[in-house]
Amino acid sequence: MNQTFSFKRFSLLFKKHTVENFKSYLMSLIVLVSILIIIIEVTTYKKPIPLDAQTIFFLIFLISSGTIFTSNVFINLSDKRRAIATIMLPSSSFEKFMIGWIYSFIIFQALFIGVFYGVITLLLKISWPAKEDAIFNAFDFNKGLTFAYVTYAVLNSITLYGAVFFKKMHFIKTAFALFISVMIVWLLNLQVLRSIFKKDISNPPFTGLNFPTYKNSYTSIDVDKTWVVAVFLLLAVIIWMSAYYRLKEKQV
Amino acid sequence: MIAIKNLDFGYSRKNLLFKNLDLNLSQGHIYGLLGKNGAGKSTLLHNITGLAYPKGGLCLINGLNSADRPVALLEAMYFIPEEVYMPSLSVVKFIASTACFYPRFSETEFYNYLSEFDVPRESVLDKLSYGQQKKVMIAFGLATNTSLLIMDEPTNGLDIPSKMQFRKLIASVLTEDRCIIISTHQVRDLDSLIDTIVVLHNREIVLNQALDSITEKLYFTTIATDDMRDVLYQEETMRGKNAIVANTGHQYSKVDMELLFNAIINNKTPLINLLNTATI
Repeated sequence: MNQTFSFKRFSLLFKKHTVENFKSYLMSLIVLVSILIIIIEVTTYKKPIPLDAQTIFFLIFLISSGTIFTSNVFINLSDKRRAIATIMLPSSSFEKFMIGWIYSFIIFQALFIGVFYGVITLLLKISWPAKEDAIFNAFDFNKGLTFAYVTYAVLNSITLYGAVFFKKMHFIKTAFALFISVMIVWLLNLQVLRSIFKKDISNPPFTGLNFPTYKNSYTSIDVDKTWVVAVFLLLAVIIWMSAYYRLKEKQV
Repeated sequence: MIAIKNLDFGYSRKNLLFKNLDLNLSQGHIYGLLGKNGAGKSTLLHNITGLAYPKGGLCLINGLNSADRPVALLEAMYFIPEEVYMPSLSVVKFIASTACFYPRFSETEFYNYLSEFDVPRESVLDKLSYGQQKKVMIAFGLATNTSLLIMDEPTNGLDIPSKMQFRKLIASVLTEDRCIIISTHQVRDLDSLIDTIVVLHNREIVLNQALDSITEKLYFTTIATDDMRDVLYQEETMRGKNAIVANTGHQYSKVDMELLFNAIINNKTPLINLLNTATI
């Protein structure tokens, strides 16, 4: 018997997780659909929403609803009674982690894209019948969506770690820890850049460099976006792995 | 079956709850783990089950380190905590989604235990009372047929008829390849059920002994108030004194667990020393 992963055990665990959480997940989905309809309809009222605005809505809702959902995906580990039932269930920590990961990263994104398209299509038929082509492409990676999905991957990994690490108020505590960490990295990054270049640099991390060279003249150094995406993906993988080990060592 | 070796555990390194704790438990026995409130019974069970990690030492179950939580080990043990969690599912759905993780689970046995406890199979788990939830989990734990069954304060929340039913069921499921550990501070609940007493007191296992062995060494009796026999421990009652004396005459008496437990936690050293000697 494989102690780390067995497809049969994983299927049973997936089924158990789905059966036990079906009602709450269905309610969450209905709430998401309702919020999307209300906010997009109220914002655009009878006018077709521009493609760029659709992309922004997509990004904001994917990240906000996705992180809220992810912060609760390991809710079974937060309460002592539930944690005992979860840890003692005969399946490996890796399988238990993968259930949370698949639900929050794969299934959530797939459902979100479907729901978002559904809402836009619905509004297109009801409120914007004249503009039939006004629907954005969620897989057009040239329009900055690559960065949106990568950002979601990083935020998913951080929220997943917070979901395992914190016992209560997972979302708030994770968001707080993230903002503090981002500020520290930002400030350290500035200090390092200023000490290297001896210039007044104010660029945030991963956005290249801009600094004055002569009067009214600026030097710009662009950062290779492929590298940024690669670094972010690597970061996400490292944090997912940390979350897994955190779950593996979870105690009651 | 269970081998605890030099176990150190504490919520901080400076303040250890257990230090160099050793304990061996074997199959074919029902152990009663006794201790005062806060003695660390639940903590010890958490260390045994791998829910908490020791600061030092090992806890092995069938040779596997419980802190590693291998699936083979999780399949072979079932733990019923004091406070149970019940998902919002019917009994039938719970069985359909959870029983499949235990290779030796018997659905027939589960429903038999459930009917003996008078819990309707149509019940929705999280709508049941605390006592009823406990009964469902006890029935489930028994039906898993795991070689190790651990229960933490299982009789809390059970009414008197259910406690009797509990004792009956537990006694009926003990087999030679099964080890059952029941932790409680309500000593009377284990009367006529356990065959070995383990007492946890002042961070130590002060007693781990079969009832037969205890009765060989100690004699439990009631003595008149003016009886001048050399007693190891006594308690005043309406009918005289309940007393423990050395069993020098090799007489048989039933172990009064409450009396014995009180004697141990009152640090009656001669009695403890006598119990821990090989023979009298």
